[in-house]
Amino acid sequence: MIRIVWIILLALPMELMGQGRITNFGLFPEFQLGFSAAENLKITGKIESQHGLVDKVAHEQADWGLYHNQTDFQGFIGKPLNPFVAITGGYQYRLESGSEDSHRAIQQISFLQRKGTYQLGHRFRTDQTFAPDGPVEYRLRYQVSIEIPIEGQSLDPGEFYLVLSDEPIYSLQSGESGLENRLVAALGHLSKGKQKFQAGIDYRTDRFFDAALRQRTWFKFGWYLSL
Amino acid sequence: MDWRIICIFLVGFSIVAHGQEKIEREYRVKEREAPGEAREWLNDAFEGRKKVKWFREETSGKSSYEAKFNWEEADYSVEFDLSGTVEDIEIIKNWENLSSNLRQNLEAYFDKHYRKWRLEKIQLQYSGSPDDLEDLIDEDEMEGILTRYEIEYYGDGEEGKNLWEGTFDKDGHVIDKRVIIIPPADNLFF
Repeated sequence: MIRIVWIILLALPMELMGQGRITNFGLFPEFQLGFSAAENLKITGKIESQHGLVDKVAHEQADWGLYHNQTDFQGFIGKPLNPFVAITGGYQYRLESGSEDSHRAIQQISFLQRKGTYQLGHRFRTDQTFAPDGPVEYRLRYQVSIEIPIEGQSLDPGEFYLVLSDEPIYSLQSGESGLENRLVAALGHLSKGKQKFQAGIDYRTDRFFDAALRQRTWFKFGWYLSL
Repeated sequence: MDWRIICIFLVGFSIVAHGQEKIEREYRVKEREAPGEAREWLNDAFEGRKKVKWFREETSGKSSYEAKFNWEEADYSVEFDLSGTVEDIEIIKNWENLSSNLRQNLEAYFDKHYRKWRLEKIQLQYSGSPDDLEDLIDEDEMEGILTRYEIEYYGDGEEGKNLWEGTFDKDGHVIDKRVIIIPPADNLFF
């Protein structure tokens, strides 16, 4: 089963390139650390970094070469309302190649639904991005995720799981609207010590309102640690 | 910069992977891996049952096998020790299926201890000797059978807002309870 999942995940970007539609493929490592600072206060830190490997415009030669696209440093303070619901505020500092560094304020509310053999996550998020070279960008986002254990009826330490998520994002900047979608399919492992490892494909499409649709595909691998 | 960042992630992965210790878990096994005595007991007690899913469970140093299946429109879970001796039978129940006396007692307990509460899962649990458990299934004979309820519920009370697993006797009086630790789900929200 795990072998089949890997084949599907690794074959997806090749298939997209074969259709001549891909504009970008790269590596996307991320690290996340979460811990309770007080009885009802949770701190989460995250670093995520995008590194392009190939750019390709339809019907043109692929341009291969490793380059740094952007690295985000994020910090969040969350208040769990109960074991299933949390409200969170955060800040992000972004290092972006070819652009000025930017700042982002983030607000979110998240819901966890346990459904017997799987669990669903819902995240409603708003953010505001401040960059020196442009007006403020406002975004409204909703992400739904499903986490399915592969080896048993519940996810236990030492077991693998599948995670699928989709997130439509609406943006507004200087009166202009934008739409982006992020689809993620990954294989994960819950290890002892409250940590998860995940690796999979993060497929992003945007510029729906422009003449050319943009597609970005990342091989995303992450380490999520809760203390 | 690119490769340095990637290397930090990869090195971090391998350090943590080496640091893993003994684990507690439930995982699927093939029917032929379950003890012969367990399979035989199940065939005798639940004659004519359909597909069975077998699991191996390792919890706090104790190992067991569990058979899960549907029987007469209810979800059953039968636990065996490693030699194949049956230990208990659990049946998933709906709130509406419980007797009114039991519901009243449970409601009284939850109302007394929690401002808000919500039931997540109810399991009726029968334990006893293998022969008594077989008689229970075959002949509805309750002699030698201990009846309990394992109830998973959310409770907002003086001990905080938690997900609990409570064990209750056949009349709905609490025996013990423990907080259920939900595995971290931060990967779904950040």
